[in-house]
Amino acid sequence: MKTLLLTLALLAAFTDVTFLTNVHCQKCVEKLEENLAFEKGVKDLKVNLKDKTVYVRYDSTKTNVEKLRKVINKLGYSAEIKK
Amino acid sequence: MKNFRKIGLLLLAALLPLGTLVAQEMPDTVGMYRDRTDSLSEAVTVSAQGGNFLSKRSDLRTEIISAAGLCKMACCNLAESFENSASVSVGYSDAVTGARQIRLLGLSGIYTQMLDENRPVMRGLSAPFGLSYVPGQWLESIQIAKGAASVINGLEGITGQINMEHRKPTDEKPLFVNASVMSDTKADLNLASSLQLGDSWSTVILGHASGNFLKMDHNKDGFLDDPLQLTYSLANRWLYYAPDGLQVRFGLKGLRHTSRGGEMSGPWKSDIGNTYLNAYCKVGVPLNEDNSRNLAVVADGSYHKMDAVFGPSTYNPEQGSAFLNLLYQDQTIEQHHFTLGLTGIYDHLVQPLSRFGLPAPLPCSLAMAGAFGEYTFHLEEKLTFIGGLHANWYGDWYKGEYAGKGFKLSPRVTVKYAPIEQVVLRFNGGRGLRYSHPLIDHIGVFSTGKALDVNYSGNPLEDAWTFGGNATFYFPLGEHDASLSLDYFRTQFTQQVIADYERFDNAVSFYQLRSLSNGRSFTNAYQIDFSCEPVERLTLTLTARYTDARTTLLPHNVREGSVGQLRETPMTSRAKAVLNIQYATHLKKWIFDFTASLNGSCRVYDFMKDQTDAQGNLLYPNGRTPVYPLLFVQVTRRFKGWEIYLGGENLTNFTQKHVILGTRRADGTVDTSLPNFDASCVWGPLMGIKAYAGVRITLWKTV
Repeated sequence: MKTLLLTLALLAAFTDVTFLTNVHCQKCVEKLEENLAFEKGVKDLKVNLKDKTVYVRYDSTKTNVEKLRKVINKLGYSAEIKK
Repeated sequence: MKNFRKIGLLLLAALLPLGTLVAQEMPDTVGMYRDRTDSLSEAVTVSAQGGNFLSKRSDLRTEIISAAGLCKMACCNLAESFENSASVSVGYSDAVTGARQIRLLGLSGIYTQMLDENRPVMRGLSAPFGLSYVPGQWLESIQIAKGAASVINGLEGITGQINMEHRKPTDEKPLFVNASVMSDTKADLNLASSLQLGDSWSTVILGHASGNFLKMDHNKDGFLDDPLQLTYSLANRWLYYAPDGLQVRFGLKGLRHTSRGGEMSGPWKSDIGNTYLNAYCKVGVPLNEDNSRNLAVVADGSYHKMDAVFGPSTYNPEQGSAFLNLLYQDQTIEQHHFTLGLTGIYDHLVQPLSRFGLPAPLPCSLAMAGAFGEYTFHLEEKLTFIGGLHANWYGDWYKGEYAGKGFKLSPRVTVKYAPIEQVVLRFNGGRGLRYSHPLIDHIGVFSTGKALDVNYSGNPLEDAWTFGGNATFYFPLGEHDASLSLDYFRTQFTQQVIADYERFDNAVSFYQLRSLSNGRSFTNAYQIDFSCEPVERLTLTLTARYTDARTTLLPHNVREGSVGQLRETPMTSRAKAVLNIQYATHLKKWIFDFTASLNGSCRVYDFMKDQTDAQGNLLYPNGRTPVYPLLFVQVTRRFKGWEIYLGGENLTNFTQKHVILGTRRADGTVDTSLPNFDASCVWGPLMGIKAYAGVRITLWKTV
């Protein structure tokens, strides 16, 4: 029961965000995946080339949207939050 | 499965002929096309886990070993990259020199055309050691296409083509470093640096150094298990891309390799030095705005020098080669594409040889010049028909004296039919031709005390037809579509140089298939591949093949006569099965790889049936080698910008016992001074269990 409560508490701290980017090829996907996966607080990640989106689930106690956006920008890609 | 399909598209672009260079080679232009929205709309994400898989989009039956696949094992060099493929078998030419050889469709790798980004490589003198000269970590992917491929790259691919894609100048990785060490002291260092210099220019520098430094003789046969080797190579590749679509690619490569093997303390040594230089240039010129009409030029030149001592023999061949391809491609009509081209290959060889009074092969010049055309018909995604015709003139000179093979016509056909999305049917067939280099093609004969009985002159032109097909089915299972693929290919030679170890005692007899009144040489190769992802991030592939290879061989100890007997081709494994399982944790921070293979038996040479171990027991009482398993495991831990991996090879510790054959001395070692000494009868692993560890560091480009 304790474990379940702890898991629920952790999940509650996780936040989802989807960025629209200008990725255009598989190598862009690789570059974003290889770098974002190891950013502090990132818990899940999906880069979709067809939709040109980057979905990130993150721990809001360790990172935030602005930090993630900066990481994507630093890698050379645009990042606008998809509403 | 959609993911696989889409990376297939990307890699298909890489496989396509250079004529499509302008329009197709966009996948590696990441940096230049940052803001493009049109170029790769179809090329969508793929699981980075995908190691080896069958391309759905390819017109030929094509197995792709991706960058992820090249990281599943130590894969120090190209030869080792095929360990988890059932299509390609990897072995040694002999037990002393370290030369590796592959087999595709049950035939020696000399019948498989090796391509470096669609330029023919590893030809002639470069073939025996070439597979060890391409570091696995220099490569981005490998494509193995079975059967008679497009005529555009020439006709030397009889059983298929293996194309290597190197790391690209446009990769946004200014620095990549890979270092690894094996428990047998083999150490590898690879460097790659891709740099973009403005909008039009980019380059990649590739460096490699490797070697093993400790003498080992685990099986106590008096010979080094693995020769001491040192290899270093450097390559530099450039890409220029003009805003109007013009592309120029050129590069240089240099390599030096030394190998010292043979007896630990006895007199029989092998001492080999290889120097290899290569330069190439490819130019693609668009002829209209959408690049649907274009011209391409591919030029390649190489020089290879070998200085070799094999016991009492010395062999110091040199080869200079040039290759030129001019292509015009028209894709203006959507359903009908045309390619026309002119091609030429020129090789000049000198082969100083000293071996038991055998005359050295004459200096020779081998030339091929021709024209080709290829027509492609597309009916949406359902049907593709490709018909190609190559018209070639073959001319060869020996010490200036002409002995040409004349004019040859070679047709090739490919059909791909996908009646529904879940089913792909393929057929291809055609003729292949290659100049043989009997001594180089069978370099293992130097690691014997045998006499060479030569019954050919010059470089006979080997001639074969290959036909085959493939049916692939896709069905839902687990996380994505699973695939099941069935293949059948048949290669039938009309001319072949046969190296017969069985005709005479203590001799290798070389003769031509056409010199036999009833000569036949063929292989039938069957293969089944199954691939699925039963749960997320767990991939499973299972492949199995069966090969029926037969050759007409002359009877034992009969010098006259031309009537032979059709027999199972010796030293050719009948079957192989490979299971690969990979599991990656969330965000792929840990990756676990497990590969198991079961290798079938082969018929040994007749003289091997009488061979005994030190206790006098027959080594091959039923005339066949045993079936043996191999196991490989690897664990990878990934961090931001770097990863470490630990692995084990040949965990069953199976090795071929008594790999050195001949008359045994009192201490059980073989007497290398006698003509029955033979270190070339290799069918299994020479090294037992090995552990390795390595690190890969990647520095990504940022703004």
